[in-house]
Amino acid sequence: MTDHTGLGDLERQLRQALAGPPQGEEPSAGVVAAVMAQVRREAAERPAWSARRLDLLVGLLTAGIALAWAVVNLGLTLWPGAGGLLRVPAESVLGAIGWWIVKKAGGTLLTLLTSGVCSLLPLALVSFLALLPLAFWFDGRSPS
Amino acid sequence: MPEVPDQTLARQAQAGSVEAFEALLTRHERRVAWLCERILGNRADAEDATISACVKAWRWLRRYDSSRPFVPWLLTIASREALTLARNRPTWTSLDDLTAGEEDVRPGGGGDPAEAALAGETREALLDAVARLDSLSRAAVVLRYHLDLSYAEIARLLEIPPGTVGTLLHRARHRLRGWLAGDEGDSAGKVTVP
Repeated sequence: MTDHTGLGDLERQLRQALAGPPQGEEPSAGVVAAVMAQVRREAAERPAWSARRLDLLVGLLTAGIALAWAVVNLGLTLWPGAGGLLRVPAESVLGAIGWWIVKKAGGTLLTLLTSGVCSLLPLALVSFLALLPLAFWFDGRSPS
Repeated sequence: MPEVPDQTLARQAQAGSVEAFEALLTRHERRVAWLCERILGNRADAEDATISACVKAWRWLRRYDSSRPFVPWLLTIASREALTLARNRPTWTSLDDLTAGEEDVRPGGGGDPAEAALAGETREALLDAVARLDSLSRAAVVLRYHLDLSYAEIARLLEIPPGTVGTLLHRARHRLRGWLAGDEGDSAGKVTVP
């Protein structure tokens, strides 16, 4: 007769009893069918991995450009002298007038762009960075 | 023809092969269902947990590290799913219930465990006895002796303090031993939370 009194023996018996289902048991056709129906539905809805990678690449590229633009604008704001690096010598009256127009138009355009982008950029950047982990989460659909 | 290893099938499934996943599911569905039934204590709930766990396994397949065995990964998902379902059942015993001494001792599922043990049906008797444990202790016993999880892992899954797992298991073993010896009373006392 089996000894049921020792705790060590009980542990061994528990491991044996809880080792798993009896060998050779057939899988439940109903469960397999229910799971596979759901899996097939989700597999059909799931976009191809290459498409997801392209989305990610475009997103990162956009963020990269936005970040570079922000850094350039910040640099020009903190160090206005940097603009002098772009100055070309005006050797003629025509050249001087041309350069004055370019400077005025360029300056106006740059001011417009800078003020517009600088006001929207931080918001866009923060939103993008905040949404990026969420996009990964949805992509993996795993909370762990 | 040799059987295709689990890891190979899992890699194919990770690449999007529904057929490979179906092969894995067919191969291991019984184990998942068996584990869920041991934790939940009934077949109907176990079936729901099995379906849910297997669908989640498909969704999370990209997180599976194919250099490691597939079955433990699948069974961990199954145990989490079964425990989530168990917690939403009115029969779930919380740690508070156990410390208060209110226990969910279920009627024997397939006859008197002591009689079955005497007849030499030790495995069935033990499974019956485990099924009679309160839900929290039952889950701890199954996670320990089927999945061979550490106390820390069990504590995390059951959402109880790590120090309580040892007490819970110790008490469960005492009760099982008492039942198998034919003693219907509970001589092990209450669970103490450190």
